Amino acid sequence: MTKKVKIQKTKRPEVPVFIDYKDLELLRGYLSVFGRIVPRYYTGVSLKQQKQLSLAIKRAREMALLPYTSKY
Amino acid sequence: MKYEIMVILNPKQTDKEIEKLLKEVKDTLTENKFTIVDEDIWGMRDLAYLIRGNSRGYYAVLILTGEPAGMAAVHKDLTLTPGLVRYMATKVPDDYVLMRYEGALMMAKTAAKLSSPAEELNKKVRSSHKRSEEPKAKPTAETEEKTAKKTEELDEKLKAIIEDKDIL
Repeated sequence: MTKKVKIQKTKRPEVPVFIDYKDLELLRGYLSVFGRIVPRYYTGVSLKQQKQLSLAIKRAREMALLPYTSKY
Repeated sequence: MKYEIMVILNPKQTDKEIEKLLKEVKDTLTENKFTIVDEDIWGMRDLAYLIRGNSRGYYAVLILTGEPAGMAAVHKDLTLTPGLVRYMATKVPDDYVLMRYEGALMMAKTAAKLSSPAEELNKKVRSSHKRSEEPKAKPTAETEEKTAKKTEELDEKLKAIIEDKDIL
């Protein structure tokens, strides 16, 4: 049996170790035009980082730093 | 434990009232055996959406250390303080350095400098626009002479037309 090796084809984007919900410039990079969180198969970050990012975005939304929806 | 509390104060207050409220918030934290390590006051800022009819808010961020047992009382007190539009308490790692509002703005400027595909495209478009503008601007001395000559000719013609009494 040959062991399956997962190959990361594209380089993962650099994300800081602790994702702060006040770091709006970072978080805006993971929002779509309509203000929704971009899924992991587009962003390319790891599962752990994606969870941290989405938590940070949700916190920023609660404090009115980011919109829940942006009007078109 | 290290905590971070962000508060949004009602913008429809005077500056003195806002100062008083901030002091009240700090007092409630110190009463519950929390020590304020660091603070960052953002000031007035536009909200992303309306909260109780307010489109703006006075932001302040406080960093505290203390026992987790006191947090319940803090939540109880802060929900009952009038003039406080919204607040949020979050745990932060022990080696956390507060991200300053001014620093964040500076970071945004530096991030804009980093080249991304969209930025490079924009640069190309801008440079092409500049090239089209430059040749028009360069031969100014020659064009000035030409325009001067033209204006002189036009003046003569105008004078001739004005002096012509047949037209009237």
